[in-house]
Amino acid sequence: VKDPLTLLMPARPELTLEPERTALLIIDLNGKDAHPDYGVGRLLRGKGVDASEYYDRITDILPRIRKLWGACKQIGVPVIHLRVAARTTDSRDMNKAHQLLGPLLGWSPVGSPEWEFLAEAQPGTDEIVVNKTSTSVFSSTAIDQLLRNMGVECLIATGGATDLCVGYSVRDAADRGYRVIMVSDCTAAFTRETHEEALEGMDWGLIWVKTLDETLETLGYSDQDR
Amino acid sequence: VTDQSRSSPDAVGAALFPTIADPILRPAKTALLVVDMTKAQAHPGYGLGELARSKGMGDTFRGYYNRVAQLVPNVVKMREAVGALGGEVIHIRTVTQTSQMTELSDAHRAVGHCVGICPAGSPEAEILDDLQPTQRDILIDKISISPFNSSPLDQVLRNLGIDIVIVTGVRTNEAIELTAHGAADRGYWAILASDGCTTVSEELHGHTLRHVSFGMIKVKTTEEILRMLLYRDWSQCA
Repeated sequence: VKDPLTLLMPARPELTLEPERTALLIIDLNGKDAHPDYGVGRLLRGKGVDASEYYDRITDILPRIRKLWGACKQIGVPVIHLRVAARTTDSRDMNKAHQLLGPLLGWSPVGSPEWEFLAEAQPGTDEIVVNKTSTSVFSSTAIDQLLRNMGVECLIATGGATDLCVGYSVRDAADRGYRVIMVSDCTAAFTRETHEEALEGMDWGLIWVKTLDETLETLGYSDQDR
Repeated sequence: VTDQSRSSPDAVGAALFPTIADPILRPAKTALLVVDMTKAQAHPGYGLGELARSKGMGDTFRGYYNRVAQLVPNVVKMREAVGALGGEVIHIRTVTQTSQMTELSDAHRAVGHCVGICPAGSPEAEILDDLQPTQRDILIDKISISPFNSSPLDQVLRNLGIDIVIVTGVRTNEAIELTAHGAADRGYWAILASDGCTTVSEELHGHTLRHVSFGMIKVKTTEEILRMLLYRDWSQCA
């Protein structure tokens, strides 16, 4: 549903990105939130809920995220990996909401398979990992300071889930003044409907929803650069 | 009142986010947040309403202002209860200190008037007459959608010893959702008053309430909230 408020808004200028002021965010592609055998996936299976749509979509977006990731490396855009992760083995440092939902959502204590990034999403050399104990990365980490130190003003968001960790992180980022691209075919939610509703809800002024190809174009990257 | 029986629109959500018991509302630990109830945002004669009319879209917004008129008495009831029981009432506005709104981000400035942001001194920056802050109330100004992104709300709540926020005001799918979510994400309980907030599209209002109602965000009606506060209006017994 489009917010009727958008009818009042002037046409938006095309987003311009300066690659030297941009960072790529790869959000929650660790065992707990992105692997069918761990964390959320295992708990859902135990409850007899079919979440294969979500995990199929994660499989689907991974090669596209890796393409964007490679392009970013090539043109010098820093890559930042986020995940929900405890610093402790008993997760007592997680936020209260995750403490309460922990038995239902699964924990991701340090060193566990839930905590580990997927094999296809292992952080590379000189890439940054930001561990959060909340849904939005801005609620529990120093990412705002880190991005300022790096001179980053624009963010490209990928990962899962579109309406939760990615959604609330990008809405907070845009609200704090970052120019944000939400990459529609590099993000996934538990259902197609939830994914599309979330994208539609955020695409009105502060966030630009773009496909991978459009994002590469905005970055000024073409396959010939490879 | 929107369908609250469903915690999420799909089976996955329902399995992931089962019911967690309601918190006990201790008044001294509770703050009522009244978000963006300025004339620019919530009075048909100013800000958004004026802009909509000038663009020939007054009809599209009529339902919104009707719903705002209906929610105001509910917020009044809640502020009376929270105030009488010794809780905190915090009014939050989206206003700038400069006339040209230079302290906004570029993207916020581009849509500023269309989302009801206005300079602090202007008549449209005033809070609705029926919700005028009392001497004891706290007023916090922000320059973003969520107060957690541009105001000291988190610090203020901690200083006041608040554990639970009741979120009311406009608009459900933006400031209300991000305020409730921002609070829960920081470890507060957030009670979202389903009949104490609204947005321009009724469908989006319902969609947002369904989407947020899990974990530490509880969607409740005014009546339920008053009951959770164990509030009795003794003036009725005279």
